[in-house]
Amino acid sequence: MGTLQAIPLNHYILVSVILFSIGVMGVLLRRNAIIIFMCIELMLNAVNLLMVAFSAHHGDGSGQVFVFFIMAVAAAEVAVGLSILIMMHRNTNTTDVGFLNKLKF
Amino acid sequence: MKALLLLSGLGILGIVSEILNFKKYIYKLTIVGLILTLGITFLEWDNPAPLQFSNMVNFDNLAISFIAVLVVTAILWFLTSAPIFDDSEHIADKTTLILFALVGAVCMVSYHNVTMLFIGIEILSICMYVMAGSKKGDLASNESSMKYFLMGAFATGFLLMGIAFIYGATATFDLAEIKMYMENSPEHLELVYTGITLLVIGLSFKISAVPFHFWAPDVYDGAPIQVTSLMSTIVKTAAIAAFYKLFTVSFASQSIAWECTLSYIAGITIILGNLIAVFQSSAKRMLAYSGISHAGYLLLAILANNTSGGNALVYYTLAYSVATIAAFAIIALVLQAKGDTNFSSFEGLGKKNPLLALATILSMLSLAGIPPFAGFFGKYYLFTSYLENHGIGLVVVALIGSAISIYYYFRLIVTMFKGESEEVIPISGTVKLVLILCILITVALGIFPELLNGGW
Repeated sequence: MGTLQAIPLNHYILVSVILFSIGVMGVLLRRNAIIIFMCIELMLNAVNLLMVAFSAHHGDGSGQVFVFFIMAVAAAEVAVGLSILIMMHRNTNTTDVGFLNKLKF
Repeated sequence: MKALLLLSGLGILGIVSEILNFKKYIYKLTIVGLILTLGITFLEWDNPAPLQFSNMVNFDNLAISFIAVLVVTAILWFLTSAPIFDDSEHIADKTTLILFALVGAVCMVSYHNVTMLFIGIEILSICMYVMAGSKKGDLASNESSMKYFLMGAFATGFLLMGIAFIYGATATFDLAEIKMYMENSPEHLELVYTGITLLVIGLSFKISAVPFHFWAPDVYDGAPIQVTSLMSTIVKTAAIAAFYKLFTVSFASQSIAWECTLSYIAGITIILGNLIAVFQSSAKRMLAYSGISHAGYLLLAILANNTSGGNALVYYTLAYSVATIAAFAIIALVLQAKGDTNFSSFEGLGKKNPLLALATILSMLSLAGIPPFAGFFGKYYLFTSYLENHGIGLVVVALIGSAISIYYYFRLIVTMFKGESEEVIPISGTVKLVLILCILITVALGIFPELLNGGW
């Protein structure tokens, strides 16, 4: 805990928010489904970092337990996501989300 | 709590049935299990110790009511959705996925710790991503599942960031402790407000409220129709119940941070959802937009911020789910017989299939909120609970929205009695039973609204 206190909590919040924003921008701007996955993972990792920092700051373990849940769920989500991607790739031969345009208003 | 255990057990039974080779009975076993669950759920009414599993879940009467709504919807859904269980190869997988989705939904309506909320949302969502893509060769289904997955995971990111900020301020995930912190003049308001705003964004994605609705019509349109029916009933009920619980239990005293935002979201959702629905030519897509507008009405219960809002929510979700299940069952039959879900496929239905026509008329009237059907009293209770401590403004917007909705719901009814159709659409016995049950529930709830609103 002592070494963590050397770096103020605000810095952790700042890094997390920057990482989160990079993730959000990536999801909004990139066209490749795999890159979008990676950006979503980046968002989740930003949350993990923030949770751990807050957890250490408060001296309360539940935040770190939550991080384990996030990691487990993220793994499950990637497993499902990649299989959906493979299914799409089999049918369209691309991972570009621009091809997702069959359904329109 | 028993409902949660029983549903999980049923899900595991589904997996085991694949290994031990009794999967041809799993469909019937599931329906029996669900009926059993419904009975056991009611045994826990007025539970003296609602908090269970080290305060992780809270099975109070509101949660039990929502579980009952979910299980009733699930039973009706299973009875109408025999076609997707026809291909015997994947029957166990699909049943299991739906049952686990139901487990997630039960977690979402009964959580007492934000961890359970997150886990419930994810269990529900991951199962639904797979179900949306269950027609593997169909491009529309692929696209639907991909969009659902990307948007769902994106929204989860926002939700988690919100939870992290709230945790940063309160140092707890427990709803009661968060509530206590919020009531005693919180120190870190900046973290609280950021967290609440991110939670509003994340949960609005999940209930598909405007401006976070753009994924919903495509996903609903592309998914197999039975899955669409599930998404617009069970998923929506669970998401709105979770939203209600989090905001009226934990953040009620900080309503200044979310009330204004949520009012605008509700207003825009009602107007825009209804307006776009008017211009749809496919009944499936029309119901998708109508589902978006109903999310707007449901938000009124959260804004009401009182217990009668919760009662109204139970009533409305039941009325909405029953009518929607019936409507989708009919659209599925029409899709099977005519090959598409455009309005023109419904022509001549009134003369050839009187039961289908009657069920469509009643469910559309109920969705539009015409008295004396269930939907009318649902809206009535929502509006009165909102008016208890708010002005009339948003209710006027909601009424204008309802007026617009009458146009497109009636358009379907009018189309049915126009033109001629040479073929009679065959209806299986169970679907007939479900349609009659839906008609009975819709009428009974409308004529005796006190049945469910007896005050708890």
